[in-house]
Amino acid sequence: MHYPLVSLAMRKVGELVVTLFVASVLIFSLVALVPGDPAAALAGGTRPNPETLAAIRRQFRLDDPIWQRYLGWIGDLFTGNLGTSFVYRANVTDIIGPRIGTSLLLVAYSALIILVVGVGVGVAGALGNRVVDRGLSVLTAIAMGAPTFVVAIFLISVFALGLGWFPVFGAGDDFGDQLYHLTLPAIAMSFAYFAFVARITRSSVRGEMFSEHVETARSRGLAPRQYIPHHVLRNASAQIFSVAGLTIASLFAATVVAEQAFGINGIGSLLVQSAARQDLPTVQIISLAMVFAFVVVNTVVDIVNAAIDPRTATRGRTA
Amino acid sequence: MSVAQLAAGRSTPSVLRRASSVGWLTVASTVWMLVLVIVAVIGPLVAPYDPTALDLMNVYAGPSSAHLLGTDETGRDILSRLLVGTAPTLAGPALVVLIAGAVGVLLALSMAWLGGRFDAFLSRVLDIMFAFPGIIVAIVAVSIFGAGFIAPVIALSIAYIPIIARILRTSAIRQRNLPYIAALTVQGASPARMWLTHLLPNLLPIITVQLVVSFSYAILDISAISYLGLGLQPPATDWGLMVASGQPAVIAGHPGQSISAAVVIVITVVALNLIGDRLGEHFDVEQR
Amino acid sequence: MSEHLLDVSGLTLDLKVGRDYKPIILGTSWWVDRGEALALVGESGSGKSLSARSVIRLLPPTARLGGDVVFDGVSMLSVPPAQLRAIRASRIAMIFQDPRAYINPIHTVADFLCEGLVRTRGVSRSDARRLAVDRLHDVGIRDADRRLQQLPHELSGGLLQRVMIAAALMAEPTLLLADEPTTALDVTTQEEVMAILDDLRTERGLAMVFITHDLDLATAVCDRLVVMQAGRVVETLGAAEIYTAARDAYTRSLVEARAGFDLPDTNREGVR
Repeated sequence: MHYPLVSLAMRKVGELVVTLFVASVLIFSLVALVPGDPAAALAGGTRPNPETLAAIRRQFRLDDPIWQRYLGWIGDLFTGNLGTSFVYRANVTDIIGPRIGTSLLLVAYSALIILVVGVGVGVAGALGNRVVDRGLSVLTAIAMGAPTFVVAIFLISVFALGLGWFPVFGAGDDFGDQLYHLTLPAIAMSFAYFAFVARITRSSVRGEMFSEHVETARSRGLAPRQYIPHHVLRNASAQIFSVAGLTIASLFAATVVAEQAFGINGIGSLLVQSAARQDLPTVQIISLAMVFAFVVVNTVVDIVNAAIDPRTATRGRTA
Repeated sequence: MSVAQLAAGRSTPSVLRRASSVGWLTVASTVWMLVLVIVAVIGPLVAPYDPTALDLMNVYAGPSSAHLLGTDETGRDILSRLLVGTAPTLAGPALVVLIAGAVGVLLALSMAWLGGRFDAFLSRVLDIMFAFPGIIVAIVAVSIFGAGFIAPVIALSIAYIPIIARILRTSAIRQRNLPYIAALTVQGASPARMWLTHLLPNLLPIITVQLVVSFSYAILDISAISYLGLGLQPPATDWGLMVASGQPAVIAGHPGQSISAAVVIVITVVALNLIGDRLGEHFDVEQR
Repeated sequence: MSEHLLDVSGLTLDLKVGRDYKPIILGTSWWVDRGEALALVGESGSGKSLSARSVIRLLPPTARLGGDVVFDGVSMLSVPPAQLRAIRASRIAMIFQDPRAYINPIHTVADFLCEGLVRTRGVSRSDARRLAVDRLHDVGIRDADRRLQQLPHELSGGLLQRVMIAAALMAEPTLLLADEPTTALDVTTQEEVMAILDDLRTERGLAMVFITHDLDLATAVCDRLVVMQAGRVVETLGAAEIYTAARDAYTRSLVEARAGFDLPDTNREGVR
């Protein structure tokens, strides 16, 4: 690869590190925002006894200066020690561990739906006839206004209760069963995003269809089946990929609602439950993980995008 | 104009626009929003029942002349709960948009105006803020300050600032670089006058569109927070909370409450998106 | 009619604007013989560019064509799609105004040059590449091997337009449609590119339809001129006659508009 791509990748990774550092500082210093005794805050919504408070003071080094505490915290994170939740009376690693796989699978499943269905519907709308295009446009306009939890209720009442095709709750056991259980949640979670990606895809593909360089291809006697993949879809792919990438990065946060709506034990629902019980150590870890996932996916998307469209690398940022 | 441009210009991008050029969808959306604002103010007065009055003899009643939308699992009138829930459903997102809008506009204008390192630094800050999804910030705020109406609203206000500021900054820079600003500067116009009488009025269209669109997103986010049980707490109610508290009933075969609340949320968000689309198109045409 | 290479008769074109059709070309007739260069001259909006596009039906899908366009005995307006593509692929090549827009920015110069032959004629990639090097030499690009690997944005506008000309020659066509090929370039580059195009055309005995608003350029490189205004042909004349025999008021006004800078000049054929 030529060097603009490498320098872009290095710049992006640099930005990623800065963002993650600032994010970790912000999330760490949240404890300082809590009204009252931070030890009591870290104990969560429970009323801790003096021994627990003392244990918390020790674990969180509350008597040390704040920067030392930060370094200790971040150092522990790097060694895999995510701290202790006093609400769950367990190590955060142990609480998150069994749940993270489910959430990642849910995100991956939704991402797949967004890419396949979103891009597919967008391309169909762009290349299809008027009736197809109009129908799909109405569908995506409504889908974009439908929040995840509304779609969830709809899917549960139609496909789980009405038709009985899918289970109402839970995440399943083995991999196949998990996929089966996660189908409705993944659809609910990707619904508005898929519509957004479909709209961008449609307008992007349309724009390329009528572009000058496609006229050149047609003027040389290329058939649609030859110039559509090479000139239309290939050229639209960079923009589609960057929008799809941004939505996929946002999926990590979207697990919060989808998992709660379908009663799935992932880290999204864990975040909600921890927040409700004011379990700060757990909330800190999960929110940092979600920001981390968002930023990493975005960085990867930016770099891949520059590889897809060589103009981006020299032009610099597109967003 | 090339053939390609001719053709591309003619391919109207969305069915929304095509329909809204007729106008009735935009009109209907605007009427819906006006009605909601009125209901938000007088809702408690026109509600046929006390939204918290239990009627255990009459749970899960279907729609009837007594209860137009039926009753919930404790016999409360669903229509009354929708009417009374309108104000909190809209007030939170409205606050978010006002706060984030005010800060976002101020940031965007000063970044565009001062440029240089100030702009570069704040751009990086906004980029970093952008990495925090609104709903996550809101949930974190709840874990610190406790569930309720205020914490998520403040949190979302902060989370929305980069979204609004980044788009407006681009437009503000474009405005700032137009020759008329240079002409005014040469004439010795004060920056304050230029801001108030030229820059801000010229940016007003895009600011309006941004605020309308952000309002619809804020409704989605605040409703989600309420749905998760981290926002407004019972016995108070808003639409997100109604969807959530009706969910067990859905499984029991009585989807009335959830569906009613869900439908008004979707209509409201779609209506706002339509208005935003139409405004954007209108201003776009005007500027050419 | 006699055996012209391209014979356009009574051509009409309507384009869809909003809900209505707007007439763009209102029944024009002109022809080109083998090896001849014909200029379509007129202001923008006169329909000259769309006339040339009508020959290969490179128009928006809603466009309506009428009259007849016969190319080498084939009626272009009724030819089935596959045969139309075959003619576009091997008999008629088009050069566009703005190479930055008309060359796909994300593929290499080699891809651009070879694409036609590889995809429509089944030529192997290595053969096509060898031909591409030759054509690049023809248009005066020496370091062809390096250029082939580059992306369009790495080339200057003039260089890129030479690549476009080279690409048009790859298929060894009989007729070249050149749509303001130098308008997007700066003045010195314009002259270079025009000279290359003119040389290559005469060497190969290629027929050309040259679309321009530049009367001087038209008389310099073409045998005959067709002057268009608002969708109609107002006058057809030999290149040498333009400053002496133009009868139509519009043509005269075009000539007079230039006369101040460029007084009667009978030795212009020298360039040819």
